[in-house]
Amino acid sequence: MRAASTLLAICVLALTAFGLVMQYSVSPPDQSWRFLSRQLLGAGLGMTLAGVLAFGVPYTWLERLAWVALALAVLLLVLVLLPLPFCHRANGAQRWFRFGGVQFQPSDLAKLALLLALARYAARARSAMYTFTRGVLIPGLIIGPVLVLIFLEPDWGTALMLGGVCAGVLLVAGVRWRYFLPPLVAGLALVTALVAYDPTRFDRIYSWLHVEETRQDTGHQVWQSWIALGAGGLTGVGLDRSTQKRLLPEYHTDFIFAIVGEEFGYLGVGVLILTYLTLFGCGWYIAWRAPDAFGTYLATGLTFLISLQAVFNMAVVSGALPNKGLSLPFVSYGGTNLMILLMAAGLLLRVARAAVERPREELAVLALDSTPETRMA
Amino acid sequence: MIPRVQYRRLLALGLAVVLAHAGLLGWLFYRQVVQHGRFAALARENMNFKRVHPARRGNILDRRGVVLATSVPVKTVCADPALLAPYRGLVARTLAPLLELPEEVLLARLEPRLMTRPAPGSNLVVTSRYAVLKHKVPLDRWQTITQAIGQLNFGVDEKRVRSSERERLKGIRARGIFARDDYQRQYPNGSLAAQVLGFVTSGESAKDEGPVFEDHGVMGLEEMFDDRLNGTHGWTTRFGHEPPKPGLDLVLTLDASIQYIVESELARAAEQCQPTGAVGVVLVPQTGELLALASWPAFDPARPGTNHAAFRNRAIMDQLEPGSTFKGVSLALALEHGVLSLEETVDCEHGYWREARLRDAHPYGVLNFLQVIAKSSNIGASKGVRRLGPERLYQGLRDFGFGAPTLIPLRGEMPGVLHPPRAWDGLTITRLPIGQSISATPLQMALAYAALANGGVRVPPRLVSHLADASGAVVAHYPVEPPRRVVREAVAAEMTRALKAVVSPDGTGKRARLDHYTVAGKTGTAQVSAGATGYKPGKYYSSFVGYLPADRPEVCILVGFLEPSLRTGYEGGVLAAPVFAAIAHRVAAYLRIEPDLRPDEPGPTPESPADTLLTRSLAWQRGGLRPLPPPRAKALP
Repeated sequence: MRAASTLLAICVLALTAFGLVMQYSVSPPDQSWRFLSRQLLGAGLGMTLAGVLAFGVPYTWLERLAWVALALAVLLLVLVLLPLPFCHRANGAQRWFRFGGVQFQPSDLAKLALLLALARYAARARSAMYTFTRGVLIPGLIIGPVLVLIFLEPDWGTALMLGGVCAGVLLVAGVRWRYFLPPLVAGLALVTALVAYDPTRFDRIYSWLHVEETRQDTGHQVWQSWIALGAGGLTGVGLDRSTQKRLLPEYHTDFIFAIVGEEFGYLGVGVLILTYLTLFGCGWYIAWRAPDAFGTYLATGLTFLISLQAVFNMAVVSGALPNKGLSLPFVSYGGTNLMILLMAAGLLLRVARAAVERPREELAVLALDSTPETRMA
Repeated sequence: MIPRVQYRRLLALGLAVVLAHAGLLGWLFYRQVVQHGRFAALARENMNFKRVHPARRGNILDRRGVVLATSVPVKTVCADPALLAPYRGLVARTLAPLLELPEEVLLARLEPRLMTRPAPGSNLVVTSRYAVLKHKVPLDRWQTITQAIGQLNFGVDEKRVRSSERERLKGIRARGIFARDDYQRQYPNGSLAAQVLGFVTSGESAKDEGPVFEDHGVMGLEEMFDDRLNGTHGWTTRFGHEPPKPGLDLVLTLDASIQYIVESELARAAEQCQPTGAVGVVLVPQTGELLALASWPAFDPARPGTNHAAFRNRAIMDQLEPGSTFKGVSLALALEHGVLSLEETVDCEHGYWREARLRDAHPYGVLNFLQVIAKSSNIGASKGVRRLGPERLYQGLRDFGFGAPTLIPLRGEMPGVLHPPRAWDGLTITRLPIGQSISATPLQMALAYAALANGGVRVPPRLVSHLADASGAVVAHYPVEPPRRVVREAVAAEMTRALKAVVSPDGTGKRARLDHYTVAGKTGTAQVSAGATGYKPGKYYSSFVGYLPADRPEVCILVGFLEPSLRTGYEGGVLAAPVFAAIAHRVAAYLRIEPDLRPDEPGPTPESPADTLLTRSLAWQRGGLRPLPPPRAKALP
């Protein structure tokens, strides 16, 4: 467990540091600090908060914090949709608070709060998770409002990914397939119908399937991203030598992976993906060896949150999935987003420390029942 | 059994994520390594992107900042024939009325053409993506065009067509028709000073930055200062951006109001007398600054047309025998060398001097030289000036600037003809004093009289004051050669006294008289030379040149009519003198020159004696400009 925690911390720190390097690389030549300064601020604050969460907060407090955090998150999500002076609107979506020069996306906070609340609920109700009411209806009432609020912003990418993560947590918590599948199918059908009747989203799907044909319009971003990735080749063109960054929209936020691919090539991209995979492995191991059900659920949620976001982002940038607004964890530009991700890592470390501090509860019962290895069989 | 943590599901989900990572690695291997060659080439092509930003051509301004020529932004409307191909009929029909071009012309320009790819080393044949539909389209018209294309109705229900087709329709609306930046030359005052300003033509020229559609001057100041007026084009490539540097502004010594006064009076008189051409010059004697340089007939520089007679800047291009106005110059030289005095008498032979075969318009007996000038006796002037001898006469005329160009910055200036004494025949010395056997441009004549007005110091003419950048800061001055003394100050004063007599009730120029100002001037009625064969019958050059107020002159004005019709009166005193008076009256009022005559009913008095042209001519510059260099004539010995 110590090894997993250490490796997790190393991966997170390495990714954050690499993100800073990339922000330096994509900054305009005459203003190297333009992106770097804010990213540094976010990293510093995030690591402080992560340290507090990992080493300063008692494990039991996490459960107590859950409902408060969820209430706060829902309140902020409602607030951001209102036409208030500090609510910022961009690209046809209202997702941000803006105070002075600082932007904050409440859906980032909502991710952590929702996973905390869900883990706490599932841990308390774990003996009844197989029933419809306890296993599907009540969790649905917790998850639903948050997802709907995020949908309304609209922020489809975050909502869909968060829904997927929650579904994973519920599955691990023991919801029966027969109760789990119908809502899932219904939800997917709803999303499909919405896409089919929304011409702009439908065009996005079309351009995903015909990138080259639509490279002048809808597919422009992915096409430029392909050019950047392809220009990188095996070994890349070298740090700060990207020529496509001026052509690629969102090159420093959502599409920074394409610049990574151009500057460091397939080898660099491979190392990056393996780093994310290692991070996932550590998180998964922490979930596997968590001291109690709450820890398992929370660690599962957080691990999948980070890994799914990374996989989805890389898939979108390389054109394997339709275009959605998701950033690359720890690397993309965005101070508050980086802060939340570092806090998530802090929470994972807190769960890992709890597993070391005290023996697994119900250990005796479990030992009688079976060891994890034998449960597999 | 109590269901708890479903570790099996956790393991399965973990495996799914690992598989996703593995799939991503494989997909990226295809994108980055397998497809590397193709996309690396595309990336290089992205780098070749180059766009030229045309620079704005500088303005031409008068001495007070009035815009005489300027460039306004317009658009070059282009199309993407490859994209428009299936709908080019519809697009041509929509654009034809907006671009004011026939539909067939547009259809031909929208025809997709095959061409080899411009990338070096490639022989790939592609369809052209760029066709110019029309140059110099005004911005508001371009706005109408973008709206019309944005709302283009293709006659199909776009909700029902296939996605690929919908993409194409969207593409046509967004990128089918596009525009490039350009500038159009405009002359806000129409034909004002057209021959001085000249005009421009537009065409594609190859620059380092690539082919650019730009304006180049082909006549007048637009041509002479073409490289200073044209700025440096900017460009954008993947390596960076260089903004265009606008051209410099050319500030003239002309005054648009005075230029307008002269042109309107010339045009009014020309309507009466139907001359071949007319010319007017106004300048400041002390500084040589030209306030007006007008030629008739005029043209509109925005639409020059093909009337080449109108392109002629007659003040510098017409070299004519000046006729009697030349007597002012030749007699001044005689006075300078003391071979005669104004009170001395001379026999005018009652109209015909057999020895020189010379005739007077009106027969006179014995006159003094003041009267010779006032009544413009050829015989008297010829007899007096002959005493100088060829060398002194020739040298004096050269000093006055005859036979050499004045070097104002305009192309096509004529030097005039003044033969050296060894080329003279026996009669030349009797013909030169009365302005025959010599030809001069109107500008040369005006400058000679300006020298008399300036106490005998000849100041070279100035047309261009300076070059200024966009902020109005002076970039370059155009200095002229230093002034030189041609006659003594006392001689200039004597000549002024004689020239005042011309405008007296007994003189030939009595119609040039003004109510509030004493005028010194001279009439001239010259026959128009037909080269070696003598003179054209019935063709005259009728002129008047003078300055006012006579004893402290502020402006020197020349008016000339070439080959006026004979029935309305063609003599300088009848035709040119009243036009001179009309111009002088309006210019004096405009400049608020202090009157030196007190008529029976007093007119309005100016505000202060210091409010004279000279002080104002220095202060008139736009805010922040350095004043023109002060007149240096007085400083000379």
